[in-house]
Amino acid sequence: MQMRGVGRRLAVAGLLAAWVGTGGAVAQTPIRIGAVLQLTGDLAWYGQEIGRGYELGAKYVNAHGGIGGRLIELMRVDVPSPTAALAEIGRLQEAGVKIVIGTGSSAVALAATPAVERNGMLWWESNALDNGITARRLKHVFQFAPNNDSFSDASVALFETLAPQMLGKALKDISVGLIYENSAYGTSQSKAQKARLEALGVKLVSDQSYDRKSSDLSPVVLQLREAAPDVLIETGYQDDIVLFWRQAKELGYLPKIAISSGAAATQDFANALGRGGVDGIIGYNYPFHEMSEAGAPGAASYAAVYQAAYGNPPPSGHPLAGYAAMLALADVMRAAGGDDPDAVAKAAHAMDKPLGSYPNGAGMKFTEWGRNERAPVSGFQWQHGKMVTIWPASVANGKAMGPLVPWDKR
Amino acid sequence: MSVVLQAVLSGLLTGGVYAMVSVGLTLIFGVMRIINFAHGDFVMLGMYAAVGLGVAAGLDPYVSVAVVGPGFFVLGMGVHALVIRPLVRRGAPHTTQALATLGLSVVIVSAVLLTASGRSVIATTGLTTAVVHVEGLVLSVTRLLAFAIALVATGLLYLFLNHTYAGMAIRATAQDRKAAVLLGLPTERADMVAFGLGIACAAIAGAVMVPFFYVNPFVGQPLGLVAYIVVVLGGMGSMVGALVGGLAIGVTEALSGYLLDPGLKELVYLLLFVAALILMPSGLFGVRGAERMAE
Repeated sequence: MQMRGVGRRLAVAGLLAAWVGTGGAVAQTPIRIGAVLQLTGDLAWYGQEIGRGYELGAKYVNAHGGIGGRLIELMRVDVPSPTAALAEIGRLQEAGVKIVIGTGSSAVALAATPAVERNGMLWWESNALDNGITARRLKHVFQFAPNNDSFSDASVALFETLAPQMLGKALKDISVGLIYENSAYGTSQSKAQKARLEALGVKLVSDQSYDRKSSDLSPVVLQLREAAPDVLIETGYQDDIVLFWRQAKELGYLPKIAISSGAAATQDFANALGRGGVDGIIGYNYPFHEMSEAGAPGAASYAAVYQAAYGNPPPSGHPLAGYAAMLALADVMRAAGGDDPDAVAKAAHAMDKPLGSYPNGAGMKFTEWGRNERAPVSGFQWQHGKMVTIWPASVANGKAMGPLVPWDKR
Repeated sequence: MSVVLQAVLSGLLTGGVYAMVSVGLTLIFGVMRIINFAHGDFVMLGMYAAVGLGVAAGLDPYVSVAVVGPGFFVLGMGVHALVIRPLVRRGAPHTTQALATLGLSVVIVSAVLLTASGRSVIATTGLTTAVVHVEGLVLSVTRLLAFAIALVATGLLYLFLNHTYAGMAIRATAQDRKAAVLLGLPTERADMVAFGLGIACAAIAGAVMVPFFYVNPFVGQPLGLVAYIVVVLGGMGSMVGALVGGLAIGVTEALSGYLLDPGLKELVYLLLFVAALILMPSGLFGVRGAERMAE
């Protein structure tokens, strides 16, 4: 009898040990998060930078306990264009990925998100702006990033705030020119901008789209020279924006105020135009790390980590957007207790974090269909060769200067 | 009116670069009857070569042409020897040869992406954004120099093709390959030299664009597409046609962009291209029926 009792106890102890051991192994199993990036193709630079933000964010999360003790393991896939999205999402699903973070291209996000939804996964958008990402009412798609409306709102808000004081005129007396690259990004931005400008009663004297791969934008510059708007609002990518400004300088065109999309928010842009070419240009973009720490806690330490990891300071706000999105996703996954898409979606909807909760100044509060109402866009201005955040006031670390100094006086 | 003249001038300067790219392609197309899908990518490689020479040896892009041109001539002959000639010797049809160049294009772009990344390189020289004023019009110095070098290179190529034995052999091969073979002309060598010259022209076009245009692995493809249009518009195998076609496309782009909408300029020149071919199927300077003689 005693021997049977001992045997039973040993068997139970053995089972318990096996169960704990198994539970321990489960607790240590990493959580795979798919990262959809443009690693090749003409958006490869953006994909690389956003990917760096994800990596640094994942490292930060892992250094602070992971997700309930489980470390994040990023599985990067290259989706240079929408046609590759289906296959890569399928590949992620086969690899057991349930949560996907992405991406630098609205076209890719629009193609990938229905596939994610059909496959029972969850999409966490860090950078792509298209309103359509959440307009299709997919239950497991969340746009932590700002969207086109927020970007275009920011451009018009900058105009509305700065133009009257810089020009000494009422809004209705200020003329505006719009130029934009003619893909989904540029046309969707400009459509929203036009609607807002019209609502403000502003005179739109020039409205031009162009192919961003064009080698000559002189027709755009010449039309603007003829129309002579007080304020130019432009939407494009870095390469075409640089080409535009170089040809604008050659042809002697300069508005009184220039508000440029995020393409102007890189050091490469400043280097391409030189200090004389870039000073005074105002831009709006994902927040850059040079912000007030009060409104963007952790931005400075993120920048230091980026510098240490990659040997140069962050060149734009793109990686910070990716970094902040990864931190926010981790918070939601912790609240959900793991990576079950339904639980993560539920936890995301329950989140209510004020602006200034994340290193890019973001908060977190999602609408019914997954748009983050607290996704910030910031306005900056090139001053003496450096980007100074000038808007909104909560993250500003300088004041706006203007109007633009004529080319021959720089 | 002066604004329209300014648009025409800008278009001419851009057209000069298109002509340079197209001259090389028309030579290859005219002689070998293959579509080189990688042609635009050699423009891109020429850009990277100019940038690389600038970084490594401090060479100005315009000076680097003296190295890029001969270097890519040799590279082009090597590509012909390794990729095209084996297919020709095996009697592969033109479509197969063209598909081989498509594969080459993918290899080139992928190789550059791996080594240089997708990030655009935007070079700045002392002449970037420099201008000269002529009678109230503005000329971009960098584009003017690109135009001038394109004209000189095209002129030298024309002289070579028309006043040297090798050039005449190339022209004879382009005109009637069978007859050239029967006459004992070294047609295979003519192909190789023509390919090398065509690639050299593409690379020189790339090098001279560096002071005013960004460089990334994908810039060559739109330029290659324009070159095809110019070659067909100008007349296959015609140097003069490539020059005039390039200038015509440049001016059409600029004028339609200014007078209509910049977003429509490609549409306009494509429509004009179709219209021109309906009226002149052999192109502006092509010889009607000559394109069939070499098959």
